[in-house]
Amino acid sequence: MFHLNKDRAAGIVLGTSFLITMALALFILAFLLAESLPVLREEGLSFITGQVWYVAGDIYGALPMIYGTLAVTLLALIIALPLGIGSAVITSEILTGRTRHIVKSLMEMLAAIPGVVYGLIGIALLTTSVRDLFGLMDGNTIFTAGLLLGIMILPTIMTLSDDAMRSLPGELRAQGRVLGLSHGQTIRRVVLPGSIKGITGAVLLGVSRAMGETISVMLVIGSLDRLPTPIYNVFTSGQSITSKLGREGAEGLGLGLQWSALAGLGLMLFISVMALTFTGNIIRGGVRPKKSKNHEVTG
Amino acid sequence: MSELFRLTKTSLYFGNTPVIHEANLTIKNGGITCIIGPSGAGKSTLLRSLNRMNDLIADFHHKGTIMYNNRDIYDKGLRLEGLRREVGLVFQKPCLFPGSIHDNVIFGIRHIREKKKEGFKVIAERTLKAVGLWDEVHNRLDSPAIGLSEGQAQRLAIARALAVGPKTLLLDEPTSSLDHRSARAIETLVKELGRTMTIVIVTHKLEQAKALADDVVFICEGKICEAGEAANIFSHPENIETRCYIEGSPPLDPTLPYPE
Ligand SMILES: Nc1ncnc2c1ncn2[C@@H]1O[C@H](COP(=O)(O)OP(=O)(O)OP(=O)(O)O)[C@@H](O)[C@H]1O
Ligand SMILES: [Mg+2]
Repeated sequence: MFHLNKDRAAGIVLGTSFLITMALALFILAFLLAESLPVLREEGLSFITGQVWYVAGDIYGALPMIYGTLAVTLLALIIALPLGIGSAVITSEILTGRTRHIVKSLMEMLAAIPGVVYGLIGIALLTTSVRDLFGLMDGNTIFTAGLLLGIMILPTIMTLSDDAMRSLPGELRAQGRVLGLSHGQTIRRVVLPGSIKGITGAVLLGVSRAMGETISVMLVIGSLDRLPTPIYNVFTSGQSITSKLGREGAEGLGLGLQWSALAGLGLMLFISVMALTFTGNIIRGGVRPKKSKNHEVTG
Repeated sequence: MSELFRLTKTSLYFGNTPVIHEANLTIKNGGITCIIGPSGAGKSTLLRSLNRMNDLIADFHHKGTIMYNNRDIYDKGLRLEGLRREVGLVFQKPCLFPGSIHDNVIFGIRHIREKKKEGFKVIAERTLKAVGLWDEVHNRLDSPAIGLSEGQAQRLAIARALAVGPKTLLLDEPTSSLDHRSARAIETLVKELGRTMTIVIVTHKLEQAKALADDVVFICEGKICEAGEAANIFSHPENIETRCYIEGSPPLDPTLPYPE
């Protein structure tokens, strides 16, 4: 039958692209693993715990970069999480009609701006403001990078959280209101719990974007392969895995242990980002933006 | 009997179209008032205006006054949440929250600081008993409410509304999506509730109105054609449209279920 054939064709196309994607991911994983074996064999655990990255001496400790990546990601999250969810609440639950549409389109546009543009704006405005605001010698700091990343992933978290809240049926909101809950109570007790999966997924995707972002971080983080002292002092220059790869990737290509160490960094990043993206998408699951009236009252 | 609601020249609009046009109506305190009329007449809209649930719809506005207990419900000083807790409403399709049966029953009181004299458990048991659901669910209060049948879900929705402690309960076609037996259970329940509180119920089914109503409001095309005591209206409908509707010939709306 014709239908059956069409369904089968679609199935074959989907199945093939899934297999290709999986194969590609496995290939990258195997490649990175194979390339990083030398450094893992040479450095062992101190590849992760070592604080010194010294190419001339063939010493490769990645801790400053691991720290940098975690620090900028965490900072980005601290900034983007409350703001992103807060503004999603505003666009999804408070604004209506044209205003909502305009704000939402704007946010979607911002989410699509390439990292390098943010990076340039970061250099131009953020580094100097951070320097002046906190009285620093140099505005290229881990904090600056985290701040920039927070601004970058804000639109992503916001639009995806907005989608998650909008996909909640309007009747649930009306049901909350009709039982005597205020608008705010309904948001807290009905909307947020009801869309928590989609929001979590949105946040994870945002975090994975922050973790994998390279250029903009490279431009403002200061590129210093050293742990700050004290360890929580993020107002010093640092290095993230991506900024390290961005700087040394080309020059280290194929060069013995340095290349292997860079591949090792790539491996860590790849696994983390893949895990976050995968989990984020799984949790988001059935969340699809639904075109329904926000406050449908009739049951 | 005293009057509970008084609508004076009340018009209800979605956008520029009036769905209810200059309605004058009083609803008595106590007993059961049935709102009947053909599909699209504006029954649900009228019902929802009694506790201002239409206000959630973006392009809704109203003219005229709606008094509740001699107080304008659009009065600046009136607390909207307080009004809705006093005038409960159950939607046509039961809309249960994700979560357990227990969570659903106490949803309206859990998040309100006032009234904590009784424990949630006590209130849940009392209201579930009131709607005749206790025997069926008392040993699975913590299981998801989603698993209930339509009839059970509707009774749970009524229990949830009752738990808030309303003095008036508005019901919008509570039996429309139910099978015959579940519908009868709800009718019995409504009749029972009508003894202790004011019930305003929208219904399509003439039989149901005849069985339940103390008073009847007949609406067609956004106008109140007739309102008054059920016995009078059913035996001597003054208005030609009412008579057609009640006698069922010719039906105003072919999609109407024919009275059995
Ligand atoms: N949210 C809305 N926005 C615009 N128009 C609406 C809205 N809700 C209802 N209407 C319109 O108002 C009119 C009355 O609707 P209402 O739901 O009150 O009728 P009803 O008598 O309850 O009908 P039914 O018996 O089918 O439930 C209809 O023409 C409907 O299309
Ligand atoms: Mg209706």
